[in-house]
Amino acid sequence: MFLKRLTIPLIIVFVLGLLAFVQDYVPHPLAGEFREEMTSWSRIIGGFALFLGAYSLLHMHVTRIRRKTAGWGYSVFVFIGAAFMIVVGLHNEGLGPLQDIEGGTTWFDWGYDNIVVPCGGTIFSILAFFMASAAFRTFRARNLGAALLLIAAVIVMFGRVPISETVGQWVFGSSAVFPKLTDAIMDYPNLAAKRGIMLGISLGAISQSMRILFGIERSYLGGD
Amino acid sequence: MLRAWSLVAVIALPGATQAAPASHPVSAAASSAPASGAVISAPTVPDPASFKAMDKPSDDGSAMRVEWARPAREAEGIAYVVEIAESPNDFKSGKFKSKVVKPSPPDEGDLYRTDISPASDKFFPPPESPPLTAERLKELAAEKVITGGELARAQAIMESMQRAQSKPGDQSRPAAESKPGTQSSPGSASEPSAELPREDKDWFGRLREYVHNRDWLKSFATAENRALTDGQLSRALAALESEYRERNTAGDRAEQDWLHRLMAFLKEKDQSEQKDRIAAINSRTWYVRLAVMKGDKKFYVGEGGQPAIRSARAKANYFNWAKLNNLLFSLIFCAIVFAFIEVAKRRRNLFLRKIAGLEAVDEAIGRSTEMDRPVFFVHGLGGMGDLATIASVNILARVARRTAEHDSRVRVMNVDPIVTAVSQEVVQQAYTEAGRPDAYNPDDVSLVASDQFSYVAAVSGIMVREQPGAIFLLGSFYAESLLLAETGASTGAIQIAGTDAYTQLPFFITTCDYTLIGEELYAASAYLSREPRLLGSLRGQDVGKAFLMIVMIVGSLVLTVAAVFGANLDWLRRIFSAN
Repeated sequence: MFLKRLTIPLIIVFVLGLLAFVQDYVPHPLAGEFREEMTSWSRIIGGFALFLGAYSLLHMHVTRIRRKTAGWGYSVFVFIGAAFMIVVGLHNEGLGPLQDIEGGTTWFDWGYDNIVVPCGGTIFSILAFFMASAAFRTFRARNLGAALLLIAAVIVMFGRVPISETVGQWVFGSSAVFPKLTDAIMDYPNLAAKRGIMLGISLGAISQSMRILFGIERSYLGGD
Repeated sequence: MLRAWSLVAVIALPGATQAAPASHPVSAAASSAPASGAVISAPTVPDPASFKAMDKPSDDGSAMRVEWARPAREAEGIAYVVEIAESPNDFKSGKFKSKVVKPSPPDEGDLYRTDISPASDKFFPPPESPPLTAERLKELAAEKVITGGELARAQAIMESMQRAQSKPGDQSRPAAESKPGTQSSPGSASEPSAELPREDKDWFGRLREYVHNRDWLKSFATAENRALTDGQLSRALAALESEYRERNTAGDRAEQDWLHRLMAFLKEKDQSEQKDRIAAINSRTWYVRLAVMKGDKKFYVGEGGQPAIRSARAKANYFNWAKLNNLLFSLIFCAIVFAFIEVAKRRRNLFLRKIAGLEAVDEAIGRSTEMDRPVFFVHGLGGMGDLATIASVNILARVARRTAEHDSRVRVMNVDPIVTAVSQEVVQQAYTEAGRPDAYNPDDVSLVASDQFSYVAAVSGIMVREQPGAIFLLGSFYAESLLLAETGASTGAIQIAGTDAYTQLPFFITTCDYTLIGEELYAASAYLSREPRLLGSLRGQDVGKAFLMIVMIVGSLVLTVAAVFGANLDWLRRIFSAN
């Protein structure tokens, strides 16, 4: 039992992880074929997992409706939406499932284009308001660091809008002052910080990969 | 020592003749280059000894490399031409292809290198199906594939197209590039003319596709290729004809569906075979010669009075030597990490810098327990192939264990089915290890949506309704990061976020109480476990970071000093360059 639960997965992780590491240094077409094979397997496993995901989603909403928990009405909409898309997808304008329809719009396309996409767009548009409220909270000069952040942010935001050129021309006699200052902030301190983070991430990723590859880290298997 | 330069020279390159040393004899050689003018001076063409052809190192066998040294004096307005042929005799018969290499600035080194994939479209690609010609149409009519009326209509369309092509001053049609095996022949059909009625254009397009697909299907039932039996071929050709003639009965549609499935299968098979054909072409021995071109005149690099010819074949390599530095650094880093794991096993009180976000995990879970509110764990959009998601699953195991120990509830909301399955397993195991398997509820770890903004809507809604005491936003995040974190902040929960997506870090820093930046996310599981072996790897990671910092500072100083004194330290750059 123990062998099945931990040892076999660890062996699979070690062998496939090592092969994935090695193939990065091997330009031979065999390495590419191995990568393609692994990608195919990943897609196949993902396909099976989709059923588990769908079961998990529907089970959770059935429970919510049965227990009448807060907001259970929204769960009804999950079933209405899913039923609608499944029915029109299978009906497929009378052609049956998995048949191509050349030209024209199906009910499935209509549902996607007129319900899913606008709803997604609406949620995305809220980001603008959230960004403003987050900026308002953050850009307060409470200490030296926050003050520097505030000044840098104001310069960068100002340098990105056309009026900065007019103001630069009027105050300093050159329209390029603020855009150049913006570029300098983005290209030097900002890029340096970004690269520092990326270097740290790379080392962290290698270190974590090693821990997983050699079975030192096993939490993802459900246990220490 | 002066080398015995010998090259084909037919005309003097401007600015070169006057400087020609008398001791550099040059000779004319028979070639396809136009012959006229005076003798060229040697220093203006590459040294024949430097002209080499070889397998391109560290590649997958798709290219060969040609290199030559920059000549002593590079005349203005020239270009180098590398000619490639299947045999030396093909140069004389004109069956070769050319690649033009423009001169590089002198500060980019004295060696020219160009890589050639012989099977690429510019050179000798595998044969394609021939274009539709008037002769082919007559053959099809003779075979009764098309009717006499269709033949007459197609011929009329092709004549109209030829008239449009030969119209003087017509700039709208770009000149067709010559391709081996597809040389344009009189009466061949390219694109239907814009002057043709739309009905004729559509019909001719269908006819051309029909003929192309017919020939393509027949190529799978030849003596060499028996992918299709004669019966299958007959059925496929009948279905193809019914599609071309737009027959639309239920029986025809069923046959056409079968044909489409068959063609999809054959296309996949054909693509795989095409790869083999390309590999076979690339791995042949190819012959190259090199010339300097000025205007439309060529001056060949020569030997013994003839253009010098080199040969090479592309081979698939088993190691990418350009990545040797990367491999060595990886191995050194691994050795450092292993060394510190050993040290950590012996020294239990290994010092590690404090990570505020991780120190606050217990406080966040404890607060949730006191307030009798659930702990929310959000993985973001990454799948299980994403390192950040693996790291977040590892952290979930620790968080779920502590939540179970505190007799509190953890809710995990996912967007990926595989992550959902893994998270369910991890949380269930954590509850079991905490001695409370009965407290595990599978509905607490669920897939809530499979689309980015649907996920945001679902998670935000659950946050607002259930008012969690603590929210962990750990994993791979995109535009949804701020939407989730702001909604979480509005509920008053303690928020601990962490991601390796540096574009999303500012959003988390502004809205969350604690943020794990970059590698802190990867370190979190080890940090929370306090297990010596895991802590040792963290120490190794920190030492690796210190090593990189030292390399960057020292390297910058050394290269700055070298630049001031004019020293060439390209070898040092190469050691640390990424490939």
